Amino acid sequence: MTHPANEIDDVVHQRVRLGILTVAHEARRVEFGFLRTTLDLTVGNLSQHLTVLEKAGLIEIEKGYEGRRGRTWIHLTAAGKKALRDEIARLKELIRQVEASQEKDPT
Amino acid sequence: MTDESALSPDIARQVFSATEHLTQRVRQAQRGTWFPLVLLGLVVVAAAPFYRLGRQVVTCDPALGARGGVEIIHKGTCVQVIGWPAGVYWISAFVLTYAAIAVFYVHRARSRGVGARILPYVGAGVAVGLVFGVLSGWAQQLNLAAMSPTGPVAVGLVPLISISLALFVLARVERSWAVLAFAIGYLVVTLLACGIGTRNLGLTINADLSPMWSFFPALAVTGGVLLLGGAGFALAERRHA
Repeated sequence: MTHPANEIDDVVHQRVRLGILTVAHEARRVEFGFLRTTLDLTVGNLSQHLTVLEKAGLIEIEKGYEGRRGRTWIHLTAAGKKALRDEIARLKELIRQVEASQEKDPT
Repeated sequence: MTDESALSPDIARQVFSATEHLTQRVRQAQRGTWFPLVLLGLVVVAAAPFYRLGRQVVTCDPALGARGGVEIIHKGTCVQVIGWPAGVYWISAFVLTYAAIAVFYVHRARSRGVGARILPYVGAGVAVGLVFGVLSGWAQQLNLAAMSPTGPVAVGLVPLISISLALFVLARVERSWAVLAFAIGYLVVTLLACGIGTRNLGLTINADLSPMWSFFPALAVTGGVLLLGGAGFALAERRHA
C-alpha cells in the first residue's frame, strides 16, 4: 500500500495554492483582491500561484470590469474540486495512519 | 513539502487548521443574516392593516351565517373575518421581500469579492411563503380551515411559520449554528403565536383587545423577535468585521 505522503500532488499541496483552492471552493467564485488580503500576499506572488493553478487546469480566471474598475474573478474547475477533495482525503489518511501506528506502539 | 518528514501529522493538522480558518473568513464575508431578519420583521408588522382590512363588524344573523368568512362573536358583537386581504399581502410581500434579500446578498458578496449562496434560501422562502400565503387567505374556500388545530381564524397567521421554516435553509446556506438556534427559537415563537400548543400549555396573551385587533399581539411578538434577532446578528457581524 502506498504511503499517503507519496501521493501528495505538489501543485495542490503548496501552502498558498492550497489556500487559494480552499477559499475558491468555499466562496464558489472569489475576487483577486479578496484572495490577496485573505492570504496576505503581494500581487505578483498571488499572480504566480494563480498561473500555476490555471495551467494545471484547476482554476479558471475571468477578467472583467465593474464600472471603470477592472476585476478578476477566480473559480474552481471540476478538476480543481476533485484535486482539493483528494488532497484533504490524503491528509486525513496520513493522520489516521500515524495515529493508528501510535496506538499499536505507544513508545 | 512532499518528503515524508515535512508531511508529519502535525503539519497535516496545521494545514487543516489553516484551511478551517480560511473557510471561516469566507463564510463571514458571505454572511448578512441581519438583513433578512430586519426586513421580514418589518414585513410582519406591516401586515397588520391587511388583517384589519379583513375584519368588519356585522349584524349577528344566524340565517346569514359567516357570509363567506368566519365570524367571531365577542361581547355581543359579531366580527366577520375574511382571509384574502392578508393572503394577497403575504403573497406579494414574500415575493418582493425575498427578491430584495437576493439582491442584497448578491450585491454585498460581489462588493466583498466572494460568491453568494443565497438562491436555496430565496427559493425556499418564496415557495413556502406562497403555499402558506394561499393557505392563510383562502383556507375556507379550500376547505382547509377545519383541519387547522387552532381554529379557522388562527389559520390566517400561518405565513409566520413559513418565515421560520425558510430560516432553517438560511442556517444551512450560511452554515451557522447561531442562525439554526434562532430558527428553532423562532419556529417555537411562531407556533405559539398561531395558537399551536398554547392551549395545552395554558399560554394566552391577555391583551384584552377587541376582535378587530386580536391578531395584533401575534404580529407584534413575531415581528419584534425578528427585529431583535436582526439587531443582534448585525452587532455580531460588526464585531467580527
